[in-house]
Amino acid sequence: MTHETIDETIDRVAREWTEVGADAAFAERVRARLAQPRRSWEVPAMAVASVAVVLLVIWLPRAADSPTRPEAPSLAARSLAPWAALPPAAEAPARSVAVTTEVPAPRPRVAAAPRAVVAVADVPAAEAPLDLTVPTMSAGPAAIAIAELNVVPVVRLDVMAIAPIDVAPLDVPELPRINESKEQK
Amino acid sequence: MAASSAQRMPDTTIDAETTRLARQAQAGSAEAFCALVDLHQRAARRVAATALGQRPDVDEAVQDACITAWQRIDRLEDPAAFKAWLLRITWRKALDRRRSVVGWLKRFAVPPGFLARRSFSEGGSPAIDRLADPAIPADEQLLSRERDLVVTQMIRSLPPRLRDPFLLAATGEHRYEDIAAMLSLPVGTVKWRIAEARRLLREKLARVGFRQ
Repeated sequence: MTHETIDETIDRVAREWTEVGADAAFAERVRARLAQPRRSWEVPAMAVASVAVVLLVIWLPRAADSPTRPEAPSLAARSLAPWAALPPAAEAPARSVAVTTEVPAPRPRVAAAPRAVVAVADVPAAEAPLDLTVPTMSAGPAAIAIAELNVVPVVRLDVMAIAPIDVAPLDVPELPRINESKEQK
Repeated sequence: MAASSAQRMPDTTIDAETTRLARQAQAGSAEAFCALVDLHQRAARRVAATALGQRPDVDEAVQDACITAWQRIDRLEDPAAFKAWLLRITWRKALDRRRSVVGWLKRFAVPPGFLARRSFSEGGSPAIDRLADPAIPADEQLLSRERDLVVTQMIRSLPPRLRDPFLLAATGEHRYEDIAAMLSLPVGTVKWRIAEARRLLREKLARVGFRQ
């Protein structure tokens, strides 16, 4: 045995690797498991979990478009979806240009300017009066497009601007032009 | 038990018995199925041990395989092929455990040299007989034991794609075709991997000073 060749040693060790001792009770344990009824909670739990997953799959896309959700972005805003990734109003950078204006009429409508670069963030319809923060990162002179703002009266319009911004109001009487603030100058 | 009776039975008798019991099990006889498990549990446990090493969950993997086999016994087309079918299921179950996070952690929990110690300590192991043999000089026994440990470590260090077919072949219980079916590989690939595993082992052993 001690004079075995390397090949013989390899074979023997490999055989011992998978060697298993006799286990007379093994079949008995399998028999016991076969006889064991499926745990009572397993089937209902599986069913509930499956239904929950299906409901989530159905509900989530609908919830995204739900009318109870804060005002959905307009078509123009959707086309500028990347702007939605900008920080919310609370995290507005210090360079924000705050333009306060009084807009007495409800449901102001501002048409898109020829070069729309700004998307309007979600606006909670239930809130009034309303602070609007309109982000833009236009590199050059740009126009803010606020399309179909179906919201309650806007009392303040905050514009986060990196570049000079021009607001092109339509249908909203006396909405002032926005100029750069002193801070930005 | 039938496990020991299976060892006493000639192969042709086992095949005939397997076919008969598999037909009965397909007809719904749990008793027949348990007798089948009894006949082939040792081979199944060796297959699981190939994938998992000597770990406590070898038996659990085989039990899971038996339960699955019982649930799907009606899908077995050829009752005579029950053993190969059961071993394939066992291999899959063992691989599932090996690939699971828990299995991965358990692998680290097995101390190095565990396999060798186990084989020395369990009854009937040739290693313990050899060590206990007063006719063999102590230095030879030590050398032999050291070589076994090194070979064990070398086998462990093989990549699974080489180690699995090599160990399955080393059991001496499976034909190349059976191993190929179990691993879902062509027979030629299985043969090459076994030869490659052996070549690598020889090479590594020669590197640490163990030569023919």
